[in-house]
Amino acid sequence: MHIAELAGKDSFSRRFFMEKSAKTALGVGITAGAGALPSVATAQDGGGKAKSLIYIYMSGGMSHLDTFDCSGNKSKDSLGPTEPISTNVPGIQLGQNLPKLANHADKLAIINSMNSTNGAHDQARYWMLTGYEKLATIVHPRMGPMAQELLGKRNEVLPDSVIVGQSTSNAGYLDPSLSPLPIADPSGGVPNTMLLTEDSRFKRRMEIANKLGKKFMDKFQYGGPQSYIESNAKLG
Amino acid sequence: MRGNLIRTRIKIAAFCGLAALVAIPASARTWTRQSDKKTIEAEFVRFDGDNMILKMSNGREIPVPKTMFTKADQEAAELFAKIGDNTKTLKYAKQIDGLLAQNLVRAGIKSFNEPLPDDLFARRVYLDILGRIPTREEFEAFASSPRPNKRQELIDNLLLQPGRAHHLFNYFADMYRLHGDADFPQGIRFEPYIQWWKDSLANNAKYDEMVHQMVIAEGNMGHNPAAGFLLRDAGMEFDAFSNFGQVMLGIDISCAQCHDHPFDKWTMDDFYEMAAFFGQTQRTLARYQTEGGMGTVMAKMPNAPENWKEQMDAYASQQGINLENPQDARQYRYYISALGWNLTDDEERVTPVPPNIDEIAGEVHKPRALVGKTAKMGGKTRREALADWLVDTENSRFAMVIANRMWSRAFGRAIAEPVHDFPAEGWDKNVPQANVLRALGNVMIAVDYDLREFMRIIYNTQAYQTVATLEEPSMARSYTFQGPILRRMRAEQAWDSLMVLAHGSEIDTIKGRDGSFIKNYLDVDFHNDSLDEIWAKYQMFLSNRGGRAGMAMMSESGETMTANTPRLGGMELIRAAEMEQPAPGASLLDTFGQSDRMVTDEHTFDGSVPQVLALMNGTVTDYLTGSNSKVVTELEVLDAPEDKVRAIYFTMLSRFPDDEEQATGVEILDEYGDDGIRDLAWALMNSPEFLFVQ
Repeated sequence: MHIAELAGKDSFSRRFFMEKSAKTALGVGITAGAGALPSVATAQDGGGKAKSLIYIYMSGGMSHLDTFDCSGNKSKDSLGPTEPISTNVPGIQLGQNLPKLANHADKLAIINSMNSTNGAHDQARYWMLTGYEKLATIVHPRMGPMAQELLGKRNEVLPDSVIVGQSTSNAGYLDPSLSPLPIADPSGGVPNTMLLTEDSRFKRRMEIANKLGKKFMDKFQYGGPQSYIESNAKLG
Repeated sequence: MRGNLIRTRIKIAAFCGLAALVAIPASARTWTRQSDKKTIEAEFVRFDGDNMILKMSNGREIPVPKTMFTKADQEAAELFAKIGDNTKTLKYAKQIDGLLAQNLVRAGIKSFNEPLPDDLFARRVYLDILGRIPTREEFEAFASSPRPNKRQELIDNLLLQPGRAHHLFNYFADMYRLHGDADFPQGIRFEPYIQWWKDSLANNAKYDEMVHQMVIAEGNMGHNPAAGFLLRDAGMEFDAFSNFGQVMLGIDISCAQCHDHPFDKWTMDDFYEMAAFFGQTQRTLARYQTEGGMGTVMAKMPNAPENWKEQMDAYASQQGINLENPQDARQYRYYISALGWNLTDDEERVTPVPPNIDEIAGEVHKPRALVGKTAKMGGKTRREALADWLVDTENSRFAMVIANRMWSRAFGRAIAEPVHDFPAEGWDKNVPQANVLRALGNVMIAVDYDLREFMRIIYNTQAYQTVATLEEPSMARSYTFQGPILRRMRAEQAWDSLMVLAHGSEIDTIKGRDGSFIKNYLDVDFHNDSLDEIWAKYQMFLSNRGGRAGMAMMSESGETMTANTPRLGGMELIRAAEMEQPAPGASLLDTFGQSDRMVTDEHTFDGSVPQVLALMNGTVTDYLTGSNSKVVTELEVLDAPEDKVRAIYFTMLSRFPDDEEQATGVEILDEYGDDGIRDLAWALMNSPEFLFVQ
């Protein structure tokens, strides 16, 4: 199979393309075997069953008092103009602007008791995203890298977590290979996946790169590029 | 020739187990008379008009007209006049080599790695000294030069170029966490401090003096840019102290802020006693506690008349600012905050242990130095006493810490790792090369903390001038330094090398950010400046709009202008050190591991798929390998495909192609013509060889 043919629209083959190109450019080895899906880590006892998680953090988003913590028990002052409405679960109330969601309250696990005592935006945000107090001497990992560290890698080449809306990412004090893949602009997707030339030309370029790069790679079989490649291969 | 002879002598001596220090000739150089090619051995001392003063081997100094010698000799003399004679340089280099060689023998390793051949040498020193690859012309000039001392001369020449400061700046930016606004509120900018770093490094300021200035600085960053060091962590005094410890002392004591250190000997009391040196220092306009913990004092504008703020506010109201309206008064308040982002010392001030530290909450400690000799207070302020103690030459630790770091820049690994934390006592038990590190510390003191001269010594060692070690050393601490380690370029080196492909060597002179503008509007003399004058400075602040977009600059004639840098879309095509710190947005710099400057030494060297994708498909690649690109168009003057192939190799990899590569290249050009040139350029840019420093 030619590399260029894999740069297609299908998300699976797009991933495969990236893995293959990483292999050629930096000699990344695919130990899982071509085409094989890596096995998914199974949940530990007592752990959750979810295989993937989408975490939406709304910085400066709507107040909980108008949405999920909107109940008749609150004083009129704290509620403001928003009225609570009943849902399909007795005892749970939502804000009046979420009527459709109110029909699905039985599928929600709402936690209103979690808060911080820190009113400063930056510090409180850090606390919510890492569970630690912000310090000037250490950076704690966010959920994605932490989960990957504890659950193990599921993907051979790409990071297991993605962070959307940021152009940079890091793994805090964990190994940098655990950094999430940053996608600054969701409509743009993973940056730099559009080839600069047509497929056949790209293929030709890759062949040239392979041929010319072989000697260097052979020379430094155990050295820097190998570990660079290994961390690339793990890409975790 | 002489160099080789000396090297051979060292090798034999070292590997026969003889004394490391071989008798070193007093003279530095062979001088050749133009007329009859007779030679003499002498040290260059200095110029005196059109004469050179040379010191002969018998110790006498004689003046000789410079025109008596060959052109090469005259140029070498001019170089020495600027950077200093290299006699001591070479002496120290040999001393270090001797110690390394001894250690190699003990470790059972036969010798240093193979000497670096010419065509790897050029790329290596350009990257290590200037932080960028050489241009095709620069490489060709070196490769074709017949001069016998061309390596030493290249090193000296590069050390004198402006690019050196860029590359060194990038290292310190990572270490000192240089950041344009450090996530502080709007109005607080650190560019004057960043500019101070750049200027100091460009002028080869002595490192101990720079550190001393940073520790004792007073005022805001307009009054004293070095104040940026402590203001970097304003509001987090104890973290500021931890960072001071890591960066300047090479001790990570941050654990002991909350509990006794688990492994090292530090207790919480040690931490707070050392931190007490900063205990009287006020940063910003925040409230602080007075002795006895009774109540708080709202700080006025420091170093200003009592009613300055009231007067200023009144003036502002007259100018039409409604201080009651937060929107209206916002920029004005930002400016006042920025003026008040200020370091002052107050004997009344105390910094007690925070309340969440159970055992000793609220205690106020007296300052006491952690290591080495005791700090003498005398009549000094606490910070003065600390600074003096820190850089005292009897405290060898300070010298070793910076020497260790500078060493790692040349070899890819420090002697004692990690660089920000090696134990205070007994560190040498775990460091096999401890004798080398001690020697390096002594050298640092001997050259008076002149970092340029220190690096010059390292680059002149035999150990440095060898090919990179082929195998990954197994453990950080046990590396035997038979040569540098093969390493990937720093993000800034990679970017700056791409900039060379875009602009050639003029990239070293293209200016970007300049902190002088901000410094000027912060530099307010509260006692002597009139309110009109201060208001004019406020207008300057407004024109910079907090500094985010379109950084304003001050031209030499004093006009405001916007930085007009070459761009590709939103990206500035300038060297990393000239950009905003750290590089903004989804930059290639970030993709390749540039630190976000929140924690010290956070630059990473790991590979990633985003890096591969960026180099393969990114805008910069497109720009650099396009049909109108510099890389491609400058080949148009060459006719023969062999010449074009060689030229591309010079440009991209700074070396000659071997026969096989040459043949492959010619094949490609024959078949695909101009398209083939672009393909070849693309392929070489995407090869691992491009990114690695051999």
